[in-house]
Amino acid sequence: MTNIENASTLQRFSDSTTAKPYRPFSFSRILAITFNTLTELTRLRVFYVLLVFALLLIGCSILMAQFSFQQEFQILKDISLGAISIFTSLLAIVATARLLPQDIEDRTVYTILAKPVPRLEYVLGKIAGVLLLLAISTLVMSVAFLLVLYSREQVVITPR
Amino acid sequence: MTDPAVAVHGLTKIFPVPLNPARGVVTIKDVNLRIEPGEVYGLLGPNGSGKSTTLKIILGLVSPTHGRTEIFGRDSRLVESREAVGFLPENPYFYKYLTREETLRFFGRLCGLRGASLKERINNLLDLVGLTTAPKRRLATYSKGMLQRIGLAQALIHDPKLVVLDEPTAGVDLAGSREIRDLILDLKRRGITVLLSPHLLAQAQEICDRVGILADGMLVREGHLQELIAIENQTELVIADASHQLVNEIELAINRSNAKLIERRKSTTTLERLFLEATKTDKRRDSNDEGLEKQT
Repeated sequence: MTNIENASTLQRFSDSTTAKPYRPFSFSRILAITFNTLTELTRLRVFYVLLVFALLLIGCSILMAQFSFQQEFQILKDISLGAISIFTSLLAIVATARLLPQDIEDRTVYTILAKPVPRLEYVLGKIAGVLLLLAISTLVMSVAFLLVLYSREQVVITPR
Repeated sequence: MTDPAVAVHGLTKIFPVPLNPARGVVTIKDVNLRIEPGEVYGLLGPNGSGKSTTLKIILGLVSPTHGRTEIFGRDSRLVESREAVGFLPENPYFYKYLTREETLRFFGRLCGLRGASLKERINNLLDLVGLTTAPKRRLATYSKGMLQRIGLAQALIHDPKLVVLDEPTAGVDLAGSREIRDLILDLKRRGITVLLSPHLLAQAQEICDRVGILADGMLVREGHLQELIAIENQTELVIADASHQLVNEIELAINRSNAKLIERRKSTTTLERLFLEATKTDKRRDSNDEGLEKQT
């Protein structure tokens, strides 16, 4: 019974086939790997832990800057920009360290390379994924930093 | 003449020992294979006999030391030879953080599919491999059998002409492995070539047209399954409703001639069939009463 059902499903499946000829270099394949890498990284908890700490540090720079009377903004910027640079590097290390070895260990790389995917595209896709992640996290931290800076400026500079 | 689905010429693989290039581990020794389109070919052999390595070389995942392999006339080392091939690795692992639809979408995109046709195909494939429950779970929570089904769906996503299955039924329960067997037979009916390394010989016997047996990296037997396993000088008779007298007469006739009766026994069903029938009645008693009545 299942046999016949299977056969008809398979038939339907084959009717909808739109076989595209193979192209030696394809951005859509690279993009598929890029976004897959991005999802992989964003579903790691470590990513959020690092991001939360970075945002906390940027937020705390307000308090720390209070200790200094003359150079409040200087200290605010130093701490926030320092936090952004340290956490971006940390994130880059954490994200890339296990990226390829894990694929090889888990043998996921076999299933990917058994598809018509050149190895160069696979590596390029992975790198692009990490870069995209770093870009996003830098953006998030920068926005937080600008918000902090702006709010302090409003309080301190505006004459009351 | 058309190109064979898979051609392997003088394949040898030596895994080098680090720091000692003179000594290497020889995994495959001068293997020649030719698989015609539309065949179901079973590559058998004990653990460590080089089955998986052979399959990986055919797919271009590992490079051979000597010799070459071709898929439909195109060298395995070229990326475009993989256009028409689906591969299910042994113990498939996928990205654990993806749901099964995301997994299939990812593999579909790698094969240049997109949009509505990809979506439709994913649904058809999930139907086909019998995965219709729990759509939102990540693959990390899947059982081995479910992963194996995802692996099959993934191998079929771009409608390949050749499917390479490395132990497709490992870890799948009996009913599931029977479904996979039916699926392979379906693929064959549609003219898709299947190359598999079954770990259950009973199943290999049911589905393979031709088999090759590897031992210590050498192809020790190869040929059509029926020819290989037939015992030339023996014949089996299976008789239903035979009276005791008839059986005795046949035995006497055999004794009168030069032939020799080797064994006389009751026909049996296989334990597998018994198990399937027993579990089926329990599971589907309420939902599928009608079908059962027809069967029994």
